[in-house]
Amino acid sequence: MAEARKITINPVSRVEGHGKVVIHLDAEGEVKGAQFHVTQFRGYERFCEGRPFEEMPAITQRICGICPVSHQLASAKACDAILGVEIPATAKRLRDLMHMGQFIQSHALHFFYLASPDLLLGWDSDPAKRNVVGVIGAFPDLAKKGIRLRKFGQEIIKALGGKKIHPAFAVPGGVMNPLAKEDRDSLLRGFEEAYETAQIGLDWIKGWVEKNLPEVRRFATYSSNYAGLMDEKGCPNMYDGKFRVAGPDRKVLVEFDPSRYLDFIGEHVEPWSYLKFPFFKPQGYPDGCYRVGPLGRVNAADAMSTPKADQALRAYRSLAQGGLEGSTLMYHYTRMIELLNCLERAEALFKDPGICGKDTRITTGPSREEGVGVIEAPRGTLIHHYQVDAHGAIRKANLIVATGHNNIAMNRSVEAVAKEYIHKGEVREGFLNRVEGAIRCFDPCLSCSTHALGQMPLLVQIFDRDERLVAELKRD
Amino acid sequence: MPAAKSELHSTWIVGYGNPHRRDDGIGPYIVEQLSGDLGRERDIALRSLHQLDPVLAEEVQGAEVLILVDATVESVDRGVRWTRVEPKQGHSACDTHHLSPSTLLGLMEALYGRRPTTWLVSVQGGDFGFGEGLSLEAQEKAERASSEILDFCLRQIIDKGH
Repeated sequence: MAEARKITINPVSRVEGHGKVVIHLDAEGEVKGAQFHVTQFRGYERFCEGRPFEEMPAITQRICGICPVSHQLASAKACDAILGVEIPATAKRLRDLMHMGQFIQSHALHFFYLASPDLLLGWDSDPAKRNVVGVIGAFPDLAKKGIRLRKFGQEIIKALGGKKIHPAFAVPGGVMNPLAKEDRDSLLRGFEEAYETAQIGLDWIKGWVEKNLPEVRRFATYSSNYAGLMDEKGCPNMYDGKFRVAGPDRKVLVEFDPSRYLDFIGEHVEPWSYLKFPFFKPQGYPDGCYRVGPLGRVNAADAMSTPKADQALRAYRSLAQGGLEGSTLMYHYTRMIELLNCLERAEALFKDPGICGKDTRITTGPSREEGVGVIEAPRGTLIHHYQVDAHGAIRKANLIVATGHNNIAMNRSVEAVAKEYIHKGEVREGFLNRVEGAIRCFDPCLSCSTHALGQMPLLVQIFDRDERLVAELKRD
Repeated sequence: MPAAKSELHSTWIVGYGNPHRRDDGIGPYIVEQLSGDLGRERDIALRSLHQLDPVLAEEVQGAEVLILVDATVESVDRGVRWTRVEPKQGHSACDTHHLSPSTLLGLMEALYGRRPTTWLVSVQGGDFGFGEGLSLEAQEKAERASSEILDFCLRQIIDKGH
C-alpha cells in the first residue's frame, strides 16, 4: 500500500524574505494539502510597546527596505488619529505623492526585476539563467528601461524625504518638509519616458497573457474575494478611502470605514507559520479568503481614477472576463495597470498648484487613546492600529500587512499548482519553478531582509507518513 | 526621465554601509569627510549609500573612474586596502539592492557595454554593533583613507590640466 508523503521546498527564491513550502500527499500520492510556511519571527508589535507614539513612523518603516514609505504613511495616519487632527491639504498631497513614488519604484522593481525572468525567459528555462542578469543578457533595452523607471520612483521619494530608502518624511500631523519647486520641475520632465516604459510593460504582459491563455486560465486559478481601499467613485485609492470587499463575481459584499476593520477581518493562527491568516469574518476561516494587492484592487474596482489606466482596465476586463480574473498570474497584468495609474496620479499631483505649499504640519498633543491608519501598499492593504496611554506611550500595536491578507490565497495558489503537477506521487517537470512563480505573483514581503534575485539553493524532500526521508531533489 | 546631474561626472566616489552599525558606516563617513575638499569639483561626484544596487549602474554608466569605499571586517595592513575591481561575468545571482562591486561592474558591462576603472577602498572596522559613530580605531583609519582618496583625485585633476 502506498504511503502518505511530504514534499518540502526550501527556500523559495525571488520573494522578499524567506519562505518554505510543504506539500502533503495522501496514501495514493495525490495532493492532500499545501502549506506556505513563513519561518521568520520579527516581533515588531511587541517591541513597539512602551515607545512614544510619535516615534512609530520612524520605527515601523524599518520593517521593510522595499516598502518603508508604506509603513511610514500608515503609521503616520494612525498617529494623526491619535492626535485627532486633519492634516493640512499640502501635507496630504505630499504624502499621496510620496506614496505614488513608492508604488512606481516597487511595481517597476517587481515587474522588471523579479517577475520578468519567469515571463521573458520562460518557466522551464535554465534556473541558472532565469534571473534578472539573464533578462539583461536577452533583453538589455527592456532591462535598462526598468532600471530607469524604478530610479524615477526612487527620485520622487528622495525629493520629498531626502533619501531613497527609509526617508525622513511623514510625521504625526503632516510631513517634515515642503517640496522644492526645482525638484518638482525636474521630476515633471521625467514623465514622458516613464509613461513609455510603463506602456511597454503593459503591452508586453497583455500580449503574454493572450499568447499563454491556456496556462493563465489554469495556473493557480481559484475563486476568492477581492479587497482594497476605494474612493467614492469605486476607483482604487492608494492613500485613503473605504475598504471594499467584493465577491468572486466582483459584486460588492461590503464597504466600510477602514478604522472598523476588526468588525470585518479576523486573524486566524496556524501553529506551522509565524504569519497570521486574516479572513473576511462574515464568511469565516478559511472560506473568507480574499486577495489584496493589484489583483484585489483592480478586480474589486468599478473603474480606475485616471484616463490611461481606466482605458487599460477596460482592455483587461475584456480579456479577463470568463474566469481569468481568478488566475494568480493576472497579478502581473493588474500591477502594470496600477503602475500607469500611479504615474498619472503622480503627474497630476506635481501639477497641482498647491503641491509646493508650506503648510505641511500641525503640531499638537494626543487627544485620543487609539488610532487606526490604513493605506494601500504596493502589495495590498496595510493596517497600523495603536493604543496609547495617557502619556502617549504605545500600549498595544497591531499591524496587518499585505502579505498577511494574502496568506490564505498564497496557500491556495501553491495547492492549485501542486494538484496540477503531482499525481500518483509523481512530480512533473517544472513543478518547482511554478510553485515559486505562483508565490511570486503576490510579490510577498516576508521580512525584507533578503532580496535574492538569482539562483538559490532549492531543496525538495519527500517524506513518508512516518516522516522518514524517502527522496531528495536538490538544486544548488 | 531627467538625467541626474551627477551622471556627467567623470569620477564617482561612492561610500556605502550602514551608519547605524557603527564602523559599517565608514564609507558614508569618508564621503562626508571628502565633501569639504571635493564637493565643488565639477568632475567629481560623491555619494553615500546603504548598499550597491542596480540603479547605481545606471547612474555611473558615464564615469571614467569609480571609487567604492566600504568597511571590511578583515585585518588589513595599515587599515586601508586598495583593490582593482574586475567585472563578474556570466549569469550569476544578484540581489535587488545588494550587489558586490564586481557584480555591479558586470551589470554595467552587460547593460551599457562599458565600465569605469574601478577601485574598492576597503577600510578596516572593528565595532559593527548597533549605534552611530565610528570607533576611535576606525576613525583613524578612515582619516587615512580619506587622505589617500583625496591625493588620488587631486593627482587626476592635475593630470587633466585643471
